[in-house]
Amino acid sequence: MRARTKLFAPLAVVAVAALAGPASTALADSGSTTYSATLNQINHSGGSGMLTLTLTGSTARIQENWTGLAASFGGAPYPHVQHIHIGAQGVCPSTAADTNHDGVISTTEGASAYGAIGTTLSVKGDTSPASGTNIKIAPSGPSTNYARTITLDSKTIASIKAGTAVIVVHGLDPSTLSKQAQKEKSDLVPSLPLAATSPALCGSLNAMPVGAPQTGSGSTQSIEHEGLFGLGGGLLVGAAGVAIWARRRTDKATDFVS
Amino acid sequence: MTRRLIRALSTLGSRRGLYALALAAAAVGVAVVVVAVISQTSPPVPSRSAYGHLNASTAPTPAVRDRHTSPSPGASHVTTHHPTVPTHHAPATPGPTRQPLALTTASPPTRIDIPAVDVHSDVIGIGKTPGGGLAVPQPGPNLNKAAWYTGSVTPGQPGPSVIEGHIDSVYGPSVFYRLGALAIGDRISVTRADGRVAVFTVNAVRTYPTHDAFPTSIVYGGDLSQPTLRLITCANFDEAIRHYTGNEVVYAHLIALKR
Repeated sequence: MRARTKLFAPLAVVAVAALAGPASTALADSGSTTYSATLNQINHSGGSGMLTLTLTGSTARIQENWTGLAASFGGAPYPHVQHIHIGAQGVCPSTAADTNHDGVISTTEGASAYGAIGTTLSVKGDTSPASGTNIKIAPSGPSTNYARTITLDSKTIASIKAGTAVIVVHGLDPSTLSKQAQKEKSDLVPSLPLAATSPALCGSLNAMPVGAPQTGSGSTQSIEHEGLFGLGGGLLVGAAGVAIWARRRTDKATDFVS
Repeated sequence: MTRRLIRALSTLGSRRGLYALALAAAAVGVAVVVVAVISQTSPPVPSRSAYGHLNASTAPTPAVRDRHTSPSPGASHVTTHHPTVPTHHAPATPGPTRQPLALTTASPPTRIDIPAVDVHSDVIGIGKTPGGGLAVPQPGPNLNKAAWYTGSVTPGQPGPSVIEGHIDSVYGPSVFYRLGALAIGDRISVTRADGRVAVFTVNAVRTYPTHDAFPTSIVYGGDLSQPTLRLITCANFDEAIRHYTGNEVVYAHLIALKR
């Protein structure tokens, strides 16, 4: 019987050990932060895109792809001015932002959501707000594959870190606008039609998740159903105990020789 | 067994009764342990540590896949797959410039189906933790569902769409328990809220042995021009600390769009 007790004991130990929780692990850290934005269509532009921005100090390495936007304007590739908008709610406007009900959310109408221009994402040269409507240095055509490393000013950096930076790509196909909107002038550059400067893609800039997701408990790697092992082990230990007790009783008895 | 127990109880105090009780308890105990042992789940299938090419554009879907390596009479164990002709292009492809296969409207995923590893799950949206990491499904009705990172593009849009799932939970295997068994060429169908189904094919499987080795900029970024999919779960169980120390990432790219 004692031998059996020894046999059962490890089971109880296993059952107890299996209840111990897993240890947690630390996450790594690095000197730069990477942000990303999903560029979804606005004003039914038909486009889609994504941008990533890796910020190290004031240096921003930007990679961006978008597709599906207006291809040409007056026989030339359609210029799509694009910016990091800052200092407002950090979101893209809903259709409720179309306060003059012409069917188009103009850049001005969207400003309460995404704010003013902080940085111009030009293909070359100046990146300040002053170049915000400079179509000569804007990416052009229906799609782009943009990669540029630029220096950001303190206001833009602060807005990015605060989670209020929004990427906005402008320029709509005029034929997709309402009759009323087609006749309207741009709210930014009166010499241009409304379509030329209105938002076509918009996306909030948010930090990429840091570290790696913790998607496992390890239960299938260790002992499962600890409760059952505990119950079974407990019963076996109890059985051994009762047997030992019974044996002691018989040891005391004179009418029994073991 | 019950009768034996009753008899043992009725004769409690006698030597035979005590032995009978001990025997009964031992029998029940053994039975319970046997049930527990039988119901153990084997650990998840580990993937090949580096398999396929991360860049989908330079790695078209191979025609040969090596999943079913156990030969059976009359059946070839190398299956040739022809690329699926997309049933619907969005938008239509007029003129000489072929539009890339992609969806330009955003619509969150609602369901994921991976027939090769028998994954059929609803998909919930998930954000980040207060610490900035990717949150994971918590205990409750969503624990064993796949989760789409709401900061990534929706499936079918250009860029990487990120869907994670637990490999296991305290209750046993979870939704991505068999993710390691995925092979190049396997199909992943993701249904979106707008009814469109984005069909992806696996082009690479990677196991990152430590969480520190997890390449966030590649997993959540990388090639932004193509619609791709990343499936993430845990990997590399460490017996010493009784925890997964790494991650498994399946890289796939869009091959078809369906209604």
